[in-house]
Amino acid sequence: MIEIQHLTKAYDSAAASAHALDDVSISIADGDIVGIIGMSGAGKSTLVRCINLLERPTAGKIVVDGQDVTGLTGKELRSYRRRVAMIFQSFGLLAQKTVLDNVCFPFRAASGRVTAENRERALELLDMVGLKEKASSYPSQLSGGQQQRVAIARALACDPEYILCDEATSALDPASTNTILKLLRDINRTTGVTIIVITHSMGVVEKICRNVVVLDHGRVVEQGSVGEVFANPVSDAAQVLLERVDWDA
Amino acid sequence: MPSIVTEFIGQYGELLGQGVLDTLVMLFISTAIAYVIGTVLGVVLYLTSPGSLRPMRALNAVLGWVVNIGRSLPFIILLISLMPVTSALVGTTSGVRGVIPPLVVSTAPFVARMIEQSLAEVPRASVEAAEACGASIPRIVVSALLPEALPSIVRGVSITLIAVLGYTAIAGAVGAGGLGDIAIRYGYYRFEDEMMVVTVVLLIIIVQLIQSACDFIARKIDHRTQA
Repeated sequence: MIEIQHLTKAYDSAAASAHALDDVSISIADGDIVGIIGMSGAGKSTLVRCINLLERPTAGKIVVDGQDVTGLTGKELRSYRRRVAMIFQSFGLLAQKTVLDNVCFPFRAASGRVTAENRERALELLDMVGLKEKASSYPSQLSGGQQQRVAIARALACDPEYILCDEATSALDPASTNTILKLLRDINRTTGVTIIVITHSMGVVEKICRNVVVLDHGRVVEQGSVGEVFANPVSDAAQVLLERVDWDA
Repeated sequence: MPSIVTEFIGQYGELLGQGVLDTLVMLFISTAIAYVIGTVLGVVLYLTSPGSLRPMRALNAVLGWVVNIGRSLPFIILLISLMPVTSALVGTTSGVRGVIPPLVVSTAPFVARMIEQSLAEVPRASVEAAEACGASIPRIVVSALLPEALPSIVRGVSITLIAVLGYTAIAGAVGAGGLGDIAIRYGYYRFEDEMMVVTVVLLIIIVQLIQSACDFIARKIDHRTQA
């Protein structure tokens, strides 16, 4: 269970302030797939990057299973980050390492070395994402969708409790997007991992999320189950995102 | 015609051979040491820069200043002003040994900037992904940043080696040995034009070899784009 309590992130520069957060409180139940949706600059990436502390909030707390993680540093921060895996819009694979070595990277990060068992586990994960035969290829030899599947296998290598997806499908075509979303949904079903999906596409939310949080200008303007929000969007942001606006107005 | 060539080789072959050897020894030993120091400096410059993994404004500014000062000093001035340090370190201020310390001092800051530049080219998302996997900063540097930057670093090595080759020729002016020394003593002071031409041709060949070798290695190890 992740509880985000009164999270505020302020930036010094005016240019960055578009991505700031203002008193955001959300709680995310274990096993859920929750979508955090908003327009560009609504602060959704900032929010997800605060969850694994790639960015430090200015005020407020992140509480995971009752433990306040906001102030973690050093070793404790690193072991917390292994519980919260992340996948990125631009995949974030290491171009100079093979697919297998990329998937093994979390093992190296954790213990400084990669054992034969680690390699075996990585191959299993690659098999799961359907890319076992690409183990010795380099990321540049793969398509965008395949690279994202490698990134998912890497995320699963630390057996995370949570997976943060920061616009994970925004750079992909519709077919690859569907493959990735299906994969995430299946992983959620089989392992019970909690998935937090950041997106500006209602289509993505509709396909895999159970709950949704709508962010606008750094504030939560609406939250609830996907069914409710889609049936009856109250906020202006949700109506625009659902394209329930009068084009001629 | 061939007799002139044989005569020339007989007369100067040994001298030129020793010159090439001296030049290569100065070049590779001082560049290797400069890379050890410069890589550490470059990594620290990268890590402490604003928005990087461990921003430290004061340390970054001071180190940046030191590196810039090192790069500002003309090599010939550095060579002379370092003489007391050089003789304390290696026991002499002339010959191949005597020129290595000033070569290292002038090359290390240059290398630091090259390494910093190569690290800065590594995509931000790759670094963040490594961070998000729970890797420590030393782990990120050793297992992600440096391997990712390697092709760019190798290209930097060719630029550094060729710049240092130029410095070794300057060092020849103060009796360091090597091809620069031969060019000055025989080609310039004694007006032996053919010696000047031969030393310059040898230097051109060395430059071409360095460039081709580094380009070849960089291409071999670069997996960033599809081959």
